[in-house]
Amino acid sequence: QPIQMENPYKDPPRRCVLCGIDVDYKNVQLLSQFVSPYTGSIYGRHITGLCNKKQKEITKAIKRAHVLGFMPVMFKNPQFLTDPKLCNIKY
Amino acid sequence: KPGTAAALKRTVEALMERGAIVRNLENLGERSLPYKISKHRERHKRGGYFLIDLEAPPSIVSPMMDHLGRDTDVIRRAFVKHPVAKAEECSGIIPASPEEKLSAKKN
Repeated sequence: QPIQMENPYKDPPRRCVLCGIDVDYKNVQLLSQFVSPYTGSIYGRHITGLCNKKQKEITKAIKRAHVLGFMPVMFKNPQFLTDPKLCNIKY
Repeated sequence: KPGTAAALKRTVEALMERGAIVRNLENLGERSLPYKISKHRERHKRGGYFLIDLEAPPSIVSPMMDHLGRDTDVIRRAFVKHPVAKAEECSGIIPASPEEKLSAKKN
């Protein structure tokens, strides 16, 4: 008789890029990786590929950084233009 | 530099006067601002960033914002809550079931 059990060959749940990393409004470098270099607009979930929680945290942190004068609003800081690409976007 | 030191001293003293416990004062460096900020009839391009770690009753927030608003050395002021280190249970991306996809609203 087959024993009823959970699928033992299941893959572990897919983790997003920021799973386990603290998001802070002060590290502008991390925040700038999710912002367009041309317009400075925040990328959506379908581009960044983050989970719900992290996307919300990133958005809130970016807005806070804008207001408090840590991050530029209309463009990406040119210092961080050569950062590794995290988002699924083609220019 | 003596100007910034004096401004910091004034701020911390005003905080302690109203009964705040200052735990730590961090200097996040002096850099050029991301955009020009006009404040107190002046256009500012460079500024020093400071972070004051403190414990205080919430009734302190409004009078302190007033006080800092009147200070000409302060360009932008804000009170931010301490980020609470929540439980590390980021369980990764849970694939949405078909029922959720049907009932989820499209924004």
